[in-house]
Amino acid sequence: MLFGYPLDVWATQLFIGLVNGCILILVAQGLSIVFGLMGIINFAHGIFYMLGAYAGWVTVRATGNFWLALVVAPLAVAVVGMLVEVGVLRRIYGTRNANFAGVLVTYGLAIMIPDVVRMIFGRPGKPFAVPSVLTGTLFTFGGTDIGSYRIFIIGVTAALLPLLWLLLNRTNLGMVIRAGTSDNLMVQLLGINVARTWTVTYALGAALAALGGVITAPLIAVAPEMGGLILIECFIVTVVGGMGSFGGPIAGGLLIGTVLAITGMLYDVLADVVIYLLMAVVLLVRPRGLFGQEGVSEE
Amino acid sequence: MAPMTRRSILKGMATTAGFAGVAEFPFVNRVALGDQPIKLGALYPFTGPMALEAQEMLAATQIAVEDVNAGGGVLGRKVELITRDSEFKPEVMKRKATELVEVEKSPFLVGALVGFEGIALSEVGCKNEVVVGFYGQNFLTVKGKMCKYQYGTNLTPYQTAAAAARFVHQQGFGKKWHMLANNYSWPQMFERAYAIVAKQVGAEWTGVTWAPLGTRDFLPFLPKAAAVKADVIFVVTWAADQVACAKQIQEFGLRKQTQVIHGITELTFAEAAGKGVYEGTYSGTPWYWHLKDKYPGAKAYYDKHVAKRKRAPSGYAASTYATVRVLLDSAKEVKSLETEKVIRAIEGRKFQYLKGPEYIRACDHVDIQEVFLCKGKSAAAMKDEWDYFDIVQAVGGEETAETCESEGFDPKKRLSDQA
Repeated sequence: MLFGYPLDVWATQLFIGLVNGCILILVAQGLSIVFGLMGIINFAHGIFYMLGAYAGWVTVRATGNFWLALVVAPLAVAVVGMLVEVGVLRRIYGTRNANFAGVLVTYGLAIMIPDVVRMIFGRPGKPFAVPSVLTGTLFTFGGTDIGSYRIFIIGVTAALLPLLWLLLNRTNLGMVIRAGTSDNLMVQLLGINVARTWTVTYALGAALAALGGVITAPLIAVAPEMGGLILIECFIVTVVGGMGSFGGPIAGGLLIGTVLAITGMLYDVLADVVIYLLMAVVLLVRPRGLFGQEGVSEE
Repeated sequence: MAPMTRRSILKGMATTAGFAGVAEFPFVNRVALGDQPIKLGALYPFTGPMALEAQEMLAATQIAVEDVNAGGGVLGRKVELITRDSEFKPEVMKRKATELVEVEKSPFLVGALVGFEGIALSEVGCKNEVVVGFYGQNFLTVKGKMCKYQYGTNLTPYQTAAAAARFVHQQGFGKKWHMLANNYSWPQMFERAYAIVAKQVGAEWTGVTWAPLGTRDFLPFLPKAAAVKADVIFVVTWAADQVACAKQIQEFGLRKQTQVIHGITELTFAEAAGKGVYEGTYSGTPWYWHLKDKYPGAKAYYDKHVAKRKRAPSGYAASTYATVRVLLDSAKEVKSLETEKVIRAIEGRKFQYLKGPEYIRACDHVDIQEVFLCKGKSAAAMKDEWDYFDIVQAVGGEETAETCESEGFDPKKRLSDQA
């Protein structure tokens, strides 16, 4: 027994923390990449998460194929992300107070797009079931059913992260993104088509959020409002982990997921505020975050 | 022109006074106002997460108004529904409710799906001394918080919780009770009721596992709730939180370990969760559409709602209908739109619209009524797209309502004489 709970319950909570952390990692990676390169605090990121869930719902409804939805949803939302970047954000780059304008514009999108979704899909939430091959219990641990789907989420995250690392560290695009994160002006002066890079980066961020949305859709309520809370959590993950770094969202996601799970068990009343307390502590002790690059986000 | 004389001035003044006096006679007013409809100001959260419920409640209000108008209206005048979008924000609710009273001159207000809306609407009603009818749970029934012009036909949190607790006791589900809920004031009212009834029936109340309001993942909290090894877990959540919680309870296998009772649910939540998600769990509700097979009034309302909305009506839609009917029928009965007369007609009012007999208790304006406990069906057992539940039992009457004394009211006096 530890603090009044059997060890198997502790193990279950840690597992839950790992799973929830994986979801946060997927969504927060996109946010971190966009901020790192473009310097935009993207309030529309939660919307891409929601659009991913809806794109997944449409695909499953049309084809009955959940696996297809895992591919279609991120691609479809990536296109939306491109349109947003080209059609909206590009107009504010280089303007006075561009950063602030970026916040306002993306916040405006975050208000407008859920209403558009309501007009198209209606107001009620959409039922989205776990695919039949992933229903059921994989194993039981300490009296708790460990569902196959939660293991699947861990598997997807574990498979995706190395691919993302390879993209950022072994491709030209990744090199430009990493260079731009360090010194955007220099990248431009070297003659690199920064505009195209930014479009692709923003689309990549949207796609990652959308993948997070379609993966979590079977577990929660698919509704136009679903992007709000995940956005707040992702901001905290990226602040804690460090904006603009690859390892930051991973560390932040796992830490936040675990802290929420353990707090939920030990002192549930504190679950409301514990992640904000954690963020405050990190900002005080290490403002750039656990893995953040110096100078990227301290100001 | 003839010169003005003292006599002609006096004649003119007398004639003017005579017209003015005649105009004060009710029958003259009625003739003069006969074509003018009576406005009913109604607010709904058309914008925001409860937009679907808002449309359900709007349809219910429209049907109620149509039924009243078909019966001759109020004071021989048609009732005209004037709606506003509360946008699910209290400050907007207040502003638009005030506009309905001061600009549209609506003598009554109806609305408020959730708590903060109710507080806002009640404030406007009290300040402007107009009768306010709640659509949602009637939770302000405490002395000092409640406006004497306010009433509602939906359940109070105490009624909802007490009915489920008594059902659990009657069914013999076990003596160890626990609760899982979002952490804010509305579930805290349920907690109080469960604890009181547990004490009354000799059950062990083990407390609450709280999850933050708006949490989309209850999984971090389910092992803790399960570790209590309670016989029954009451789950008090609402809207998207409930949809997520119901899905995760199914995934987590909690139903295999304990009996899950949702404090209150809605048809729209079951639809959003998906078929079979509520299977094997019980839920409380003020009304369920299966009642159309038992009560002619329910059948008539069901048919009209389906014709209008192409879907089965929700429980809150039914409460909305009753709230509006109580208001308009009371005004009709006392032949007046005056607030004091109408609210006194509502106090103690007996009625039966969509279910068994009910009445508005005079001392606190609580609707004494049946609460229905429904059991979730498996996907295979559903007969049509709305057939998510079966009604298992009705628990009702004074036994499920909190006493006026415990709310701080004198049970022997009308609320309008003591608030």
